[in-house]
Amino acid sequence: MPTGRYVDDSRTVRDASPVSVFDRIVERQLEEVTAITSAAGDPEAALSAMVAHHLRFALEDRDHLASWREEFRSLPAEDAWRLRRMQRLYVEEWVEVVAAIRTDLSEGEARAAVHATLALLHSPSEYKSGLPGEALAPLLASMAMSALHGAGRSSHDPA
Amino acid sequence: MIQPERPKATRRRTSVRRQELISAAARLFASRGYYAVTVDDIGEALGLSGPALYRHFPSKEALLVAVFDQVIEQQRDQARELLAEAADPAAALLAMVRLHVQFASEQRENLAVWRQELHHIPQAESGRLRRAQRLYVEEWVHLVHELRPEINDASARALVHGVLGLLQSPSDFRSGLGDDGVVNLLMSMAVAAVFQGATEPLDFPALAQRRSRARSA
Repeated sequence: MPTGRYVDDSRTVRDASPVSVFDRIVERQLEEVTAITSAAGDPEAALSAMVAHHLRFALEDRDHLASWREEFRSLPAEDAWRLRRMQRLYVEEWVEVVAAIRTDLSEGEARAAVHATLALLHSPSEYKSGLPGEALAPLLASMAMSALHGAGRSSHDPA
Repeated sequence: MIQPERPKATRRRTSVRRQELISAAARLFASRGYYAVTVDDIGEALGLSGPALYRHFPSKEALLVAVFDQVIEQQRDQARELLAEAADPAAALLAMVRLHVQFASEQRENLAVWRQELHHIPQAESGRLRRAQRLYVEEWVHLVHELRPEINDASARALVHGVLGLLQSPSDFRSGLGDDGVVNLLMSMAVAAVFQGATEPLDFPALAQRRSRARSA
């Protein structure tokens, strides 16, 4: 007998199980980001395009993003493992670009900065600000770029 | 049946016990994770039997709600204290950033459970918790208004949400950088994000002066 909440919920989803939706999204995101990095002329251009691309996903798929956050821990281990692996590959595309721009950061710092930036871009799936998408997208893009360029720079250090 | 009124001392003992249970549950949930902890584990930590515990909390879920209540309340109280004590908005921002990173790291497990369980606990409870959380967010929004008076209210709120997401990112991911490394990195990112699009360069001493001039004016 299925006992997990995830199993119960999946029965009510008509077209696809959450796992297959997650798989599709992660695969698509990875494909698209790879296309962006190979087409971009320089890392700065790649980064702007990646922020715009990720934002489109975060705003259009915010319901999936929310259910990812709620359901991920209850997924069967092998699904979670596969999805995590794909997600890591996606993150590594970002890390490579950020590391090329921010040569002063260690790889670990660049990776933490990427995770923080993605979490920033995901914020509309967790909180509702009431700001319409056409204003929200440029605000978050600008925050993401500022955060990545300001990472580890200590102009703000308290005296 | 008519219940005789409890003498005061018993009531006080009851609330002490309740508090002990909430603290033990919070500790266990945070270290082992909500799903792995049983009601018996929580009782055991205090030398209590299951039935004795159920007198205070009807279920593990009720304890979880009590833990959330307490975490949110503490967070809000700490934020208010920091904001009241801070010399200027710039100092307040740094203190709030540090508070939130510390909160996210201490409450890592509880944050994950919060995200997963909030939709499943009774609506009256989750509504109340969300409202309490909003009060904390409003402290941030108020601070952003002081730092960036040119930004409108909805934008300030969206900005705060983004900053909180950024600061909470270690709850999803272990960087291996060590606490200080992560805190410094996230602080610099959060401050840069708050000042995105600012026409003036980030100048905290000047900001502090502006504030003290405004105060004395």
